[in-house]
Amino acid sequence: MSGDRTYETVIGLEVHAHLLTETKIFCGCENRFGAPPNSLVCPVCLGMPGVLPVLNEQAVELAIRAGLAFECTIHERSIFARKNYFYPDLPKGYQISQFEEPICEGGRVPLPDGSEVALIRIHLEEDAGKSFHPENGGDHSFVDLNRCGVPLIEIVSTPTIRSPDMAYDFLVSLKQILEFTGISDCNMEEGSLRCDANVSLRPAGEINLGTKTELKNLNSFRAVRDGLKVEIARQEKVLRSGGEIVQETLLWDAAAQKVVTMRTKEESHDYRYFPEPDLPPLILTAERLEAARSQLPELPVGMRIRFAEAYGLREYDAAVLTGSAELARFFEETVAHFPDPNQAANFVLGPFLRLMKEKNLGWADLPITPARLAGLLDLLAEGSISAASARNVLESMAATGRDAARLTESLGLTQISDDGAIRSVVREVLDGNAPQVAEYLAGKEKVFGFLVGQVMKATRGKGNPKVVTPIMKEELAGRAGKKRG
Amino acid sequence: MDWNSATATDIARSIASGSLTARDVIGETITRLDRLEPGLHSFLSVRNHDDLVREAEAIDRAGTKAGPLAGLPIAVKDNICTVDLPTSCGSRILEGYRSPYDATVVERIRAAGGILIGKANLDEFGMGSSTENSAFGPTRNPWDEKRVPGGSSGGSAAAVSAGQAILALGSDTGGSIRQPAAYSGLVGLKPTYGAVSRYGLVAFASSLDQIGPLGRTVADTALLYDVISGYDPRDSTSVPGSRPATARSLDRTDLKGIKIGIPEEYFTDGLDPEIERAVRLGIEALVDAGAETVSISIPHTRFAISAYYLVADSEASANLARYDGVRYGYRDSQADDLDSMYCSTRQIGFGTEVKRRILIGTYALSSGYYDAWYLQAMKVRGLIAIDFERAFEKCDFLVTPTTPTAAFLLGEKSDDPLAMYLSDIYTISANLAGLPALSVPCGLTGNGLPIGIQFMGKPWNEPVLFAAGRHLEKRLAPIGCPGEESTS
Amino acid sequence: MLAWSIFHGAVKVAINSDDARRVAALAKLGLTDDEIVRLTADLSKILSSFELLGEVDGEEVAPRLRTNVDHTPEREDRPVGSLPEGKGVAGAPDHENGLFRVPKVLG
Ligand SMILES: [Mg+2]
Ligand SMILES: [Zn+2]
Repeated sequence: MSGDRTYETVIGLEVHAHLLTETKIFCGCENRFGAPPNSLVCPVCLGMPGVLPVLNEQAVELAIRAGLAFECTIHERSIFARKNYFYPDLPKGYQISQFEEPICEGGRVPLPDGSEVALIRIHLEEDAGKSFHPENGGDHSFVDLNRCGVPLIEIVSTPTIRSPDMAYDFLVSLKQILEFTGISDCNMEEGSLRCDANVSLRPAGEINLGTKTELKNLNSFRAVRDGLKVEIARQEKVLRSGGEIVQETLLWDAAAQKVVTMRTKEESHDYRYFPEPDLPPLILTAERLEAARSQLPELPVGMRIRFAEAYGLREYDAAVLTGSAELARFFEETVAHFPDPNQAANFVLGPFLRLMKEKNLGWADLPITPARLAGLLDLLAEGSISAASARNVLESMAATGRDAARLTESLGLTQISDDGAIRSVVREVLDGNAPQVAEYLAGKEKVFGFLVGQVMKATRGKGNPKVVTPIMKEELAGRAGKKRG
Repeated sequence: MDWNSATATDIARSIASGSLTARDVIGETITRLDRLEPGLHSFLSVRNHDDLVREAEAIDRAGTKAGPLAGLPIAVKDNICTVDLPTSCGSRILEGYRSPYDATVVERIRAAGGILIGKANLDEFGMGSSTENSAFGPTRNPWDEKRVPGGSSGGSAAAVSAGQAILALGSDTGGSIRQPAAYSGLVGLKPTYGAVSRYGLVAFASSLDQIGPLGRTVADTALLYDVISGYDPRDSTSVPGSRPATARSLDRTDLKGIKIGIPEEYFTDGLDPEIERAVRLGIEALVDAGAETVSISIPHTRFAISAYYLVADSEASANLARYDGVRYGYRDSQADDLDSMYCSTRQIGFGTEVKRRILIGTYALSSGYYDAWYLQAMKVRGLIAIDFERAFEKCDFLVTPTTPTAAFLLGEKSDDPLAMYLSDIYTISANLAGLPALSVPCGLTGNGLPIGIQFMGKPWNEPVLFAAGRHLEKRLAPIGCPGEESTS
Repeated sequence: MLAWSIFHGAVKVAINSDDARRVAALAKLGLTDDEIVRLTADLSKILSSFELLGEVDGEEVAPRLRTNVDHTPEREDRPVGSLPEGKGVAGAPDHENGLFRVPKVLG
């Protein structure tokens, strides 16, 4: 019996990422999400008789960039292949992909703990369209081919991922790199990042791999983690009870939190790959690779180190700020307008991110520009506004898109820092609260806070505490002297 | 003008000089087309007569600006896409299909003033050597209506041969232009792979297919070739760079200094002695023009048919996967689930030869068989290409028969696919190696059937092949036209 | 299954009707029983005649992938437009609301 063995998990991931090009990989149709069905199609991507593919230069550039970002070997020569299978969203009956001789081999994805996952390859291919099987569609399915021909890179990891959490970290890091380098927007809701997993277990210490299953439909990072956990538990249960794993393709059902068989090995595809005769080999010159290398955008790890060093930020803050390309860019533009990086980091990582989350704001339609945020930070730094008011102004900025100074004024939130004005309010408060003043002077220092509170109340929160406190102390000291004298 | 023997070059010159109008030419062509079509069945669709007349009149009005093909009625093989006529590929599966775009070659013909007259019959998807594999019935040979016109560009050949069109486009994957040209007494060119854009040619075997011209004379064929050839950015296998017009290099005074290779493997068993005799006379004519002969060997020739069919059918099995009843063409709407819709659509939509080839190709690529069949065939293809490279170190071009026999009878080979495949034996190697090859008429058999001689050249040596063809034309007695007594 | 044996480098092949069915299923070709019988015989005959390719020692030989063009051209990443909306599905045997309609995918 195998009941008391310990098992080692072996996971390999295949990630498909849409490339950020203007047009599809083999035709001049736009690469754009959300258009009316079958409105971004032409004879080429519809697979009409007689059409031929012509490769998109920018798709190649982005694949090269991915090869550089993940430190792959980028091949001077690669070839395209036809992957043959029938499905209504695959117009030609084959997908143009790469099989033997892909553009990139090897490479690695760094993980947050300093370790890394080695890659097998990265290759270029075209996406298929989308099929729908609506409940109310009767005996029919429906096909939209707008996505058909969108350029993809497929990134294949080695089977060296040991846990669902490690798979999660792998994907987070991968996504971060793809976003930073402008290779993909990695939008999982729009399907521009998709992930399949190969999973198997083997007795600890065993070298040979166990029978694997392929898990598809992992449509979010969470689905990857949850789906893998459930599948690993399932396999372990089968093995512990002396059973055997069946090689099959499974679909993750996130709603039911379970895996469903899609097809077994017997029904598995025979893709009949062969070199695509319509496309000669892709040849990359040394000059082209050199140019791509020199233009490679900064990678997340390098940026994190630079943030910590150049801005004097704490390691943790630097890591969080470089967690997404947009956030890092926003921060850098903010500190270009505002001189204190640490203060900026505190505000961005605190109130600013909290607001974005609460109000469900996205970077694309964010009404707060880095320059405007810097304006708010200026007001805060010079004491024209309290921290509490700053949060109110920020919220109004998000709603109106107006600048901080004008909002502060129209909201009546400008702090009173004028000595004379504060002193007269303090005197009024002390005059009107004689018993409390007496208690304070008798040594009950707690009353000080109450008195300051009364000043804030009288100024409707606009008294600058940094100015109020010393004046209050001065005035109280004066009254103590009078009393004695 | 004698319409039985009029050439495109003569007609174009007469239209340009004003002694003939495009309107006259189209009128005569329509009359002949209609009169001969019931016997021949060269066409699958013909343009509306009024449209044709209007187009001809517009060309007459345009005068000298109308282009090098001004007013010439041209038949286009029905596997080349056109917006104004259906593109059926001779198959039921493309029932009702209308291409939303014109093939590059069709655009070029229109821009040159050529008039697309109709879409010519063919073996379904170009798969065949007799035009009997058309879903819409066979075409007959104008020289003898009991015989096939050859294939798969049989409709194109019959139309030009009978004067239903002045010029035609065919496509050649393994001899589909040259073999029907030989059977129908025409000149036909399979251009260098990459010389003519394949954009808009419905693919049979992508790495072998080329569109090419058929004409009554070498000059006519060169005239059309010059219009359709040239780089096309829509075809990634099209070769960039401009090349000199071939029509201008036709009249070289002799063939002095030219070495012609005679490959021994092309003159062995299976070659009809009548054909051999005619081809040997053709070679003598070239020697009279100053050429020298050298004996050559293409040692892997005996593997060519096997390699060719494996490569062609493998590519075809993928190229024909798009005919699935989803986006265009025929669908069996009785089927109620997707898989049976696919299977019955393709069962009903494809003819037997197409099914045979899809099965062979699918088999050759399938898991466990790829290395032994597809890959081995591609290796042999490489060896054949090397054979030719070596041969061309010793000679300028090769001379062979185009076909082992003259046109055969309808039905004679339709039950024996292998026998049918053997009729391509001399033509397929040029496709495997990507070389230009020209078939030129070279006498008649005792039965009065045309014989073709083939010139195979180095890549881009079309001008040399045309020049040799011209010398042959000048030195051999003309074979005349179908329906006439031959003059030889 | 296919019976394979290697004699002096030559591949011996015999195709039975199960092989023909397997390949037809991959190619999504419906075949009647009569067609299976006839095509099995045709395929056996044709493929047997291709066996002589096994006589060529392919060990040291590079497959000829293509001729005359040594590297693929690349297109500028600039939109050139698509078919007018509705035109893409217009010729389909069945379509609805701009979508291609097909019989339901089973399983
Ligand atoms: Mg893929
Ligand atoms: Zn398109």
